[in-house]
Amino acid sequence: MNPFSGNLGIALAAARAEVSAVWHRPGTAAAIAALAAFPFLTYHHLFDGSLAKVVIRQTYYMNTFAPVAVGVIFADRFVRDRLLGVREILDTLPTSPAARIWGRFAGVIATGALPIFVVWLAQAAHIALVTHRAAALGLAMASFVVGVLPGLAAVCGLCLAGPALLGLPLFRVLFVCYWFWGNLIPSQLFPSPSGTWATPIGGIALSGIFHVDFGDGRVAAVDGIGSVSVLVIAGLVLVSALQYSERRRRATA
Amino acid sequence: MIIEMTSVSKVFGRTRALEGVDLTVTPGMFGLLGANGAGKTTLMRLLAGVLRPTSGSIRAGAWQLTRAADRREFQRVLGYLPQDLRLYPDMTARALLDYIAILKGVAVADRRQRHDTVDALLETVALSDAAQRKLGGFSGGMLRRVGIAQALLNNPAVLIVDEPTAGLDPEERLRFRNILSRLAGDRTIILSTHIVEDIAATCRQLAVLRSGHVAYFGDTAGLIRRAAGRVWTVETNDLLPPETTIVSTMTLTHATRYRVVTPHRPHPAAVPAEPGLEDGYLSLMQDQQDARPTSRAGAR
Repeated sequence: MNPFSGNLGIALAAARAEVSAVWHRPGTAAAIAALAAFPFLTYHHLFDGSLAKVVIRQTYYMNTFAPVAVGVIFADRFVRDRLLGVREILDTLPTSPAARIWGRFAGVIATGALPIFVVWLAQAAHIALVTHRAAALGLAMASFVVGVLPGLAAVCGLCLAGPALLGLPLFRVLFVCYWFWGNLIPSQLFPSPSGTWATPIGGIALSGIFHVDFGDGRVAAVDGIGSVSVLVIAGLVLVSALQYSERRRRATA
Repeated sequence: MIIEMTSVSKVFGRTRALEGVDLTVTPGMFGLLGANGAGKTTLMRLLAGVLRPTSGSIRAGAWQLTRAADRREFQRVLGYLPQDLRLYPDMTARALLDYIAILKGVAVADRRQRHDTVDALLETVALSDAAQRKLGGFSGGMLRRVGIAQALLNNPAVLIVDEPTAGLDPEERLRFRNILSRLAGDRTIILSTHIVEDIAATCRQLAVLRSGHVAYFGDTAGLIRRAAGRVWTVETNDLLPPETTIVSTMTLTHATRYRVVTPHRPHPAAVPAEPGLEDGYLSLMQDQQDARPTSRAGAR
């Protein structure tokens, strides 16, 4: 049996449609890339310390604002079927909506990650040139996978499921508030998930797995692995909840 | 494929959109006629699986559409063109049809075959030249043609088209009717419309909905016969009786020519006229005006 027939083929088609939609809207990719690049223009002492410290810290800085753009821009990717009125045709299709939803999830992660990855690739090349060490590139790729992608999985799960529950405008406002509250405001100042396994900015994951101190003390490897797991699982749970909600809606229509 | 609806009702909150609907649809073109708000779109959505009936049963061939698994199997052989057709404006026609083809399970793993299917359908609906344009720039008629193309992707045995010609110019309407007529053959095509001419030109069998009930179910000739002896033309400057239903009015130099539907001669100068389907529909509505709704009012 061809593995690309059936639900896998449908998921791939849905993912491809998401990537294509952004491909034809270069402003979207540019906005995400700009927010990814912005910290490199504002932070100082970017090249202080060992190679690992330089690469890992810059991964962390890069991930400060770009996921906010992903969460806000892609918040309409699921609800647009209802808003555009396309849902009526989709509801008459014989194939399971689950494959479409998961494909859309994968597509949104890919379209959100791609501009950030391009910026990071350029910056990683810059680091390699400045430090005269090609190992920076490999380390940068690893830090991208560990520090950026899990947080994006959680953010993309949230931006697909959240608007379906809250509505688009309210979700966007709350998401921006959540990002600053949950990532950037120190928990010593105000109770928040900042600095915990659930913070999608990637600091705990990067610090724990690559043994880099961001100034808050060393984080254990188990905390790093825990953070990656929690973020990925959060994304999967949110999309599963969306899938369940869709199934219920169709069953009770 | 034969589709049977038995005592189907659909309630939205306090609104009874459909009540006790009994219909049997056989292969060929089947018309569904009714005024705005009569329940046509609700009925089409029930058949297409977008909605579930509040009560009653719908059987399509061997499938019982109230069961999820049967409904999914039926949707494999179904093509649906909704009344309010909306598509992704940022996709090209070709990209959308390719995407929908995959979602319908058409040649998912065979890209060449799928592309050939899409190209053939674009040719059928005369959109090959516009295939690479974004749907956001399409006219209403062009969007409808994309709509019928997506409905045909899986070579459906049942085609449900809801108000396909609403808002189209005369040329587009004619093109659409011809496309549908060519498709009939062994297919079951259910055409819902409030434009009587579309049904008169294409359907042998029809049902008329009124306020959620079936007011007539049978062949078009039977509906026309309802108006026998009730259609008149008259040229006059006088006022006609208030119970007279005026079908058309034409102002002449010396008088006004009316075509009317009424059980009794409306004016001494009135001349009997040959009834058409529209006359039959209006005659039916006249009879229904004060009558109690029935679920099976017509004769085959």
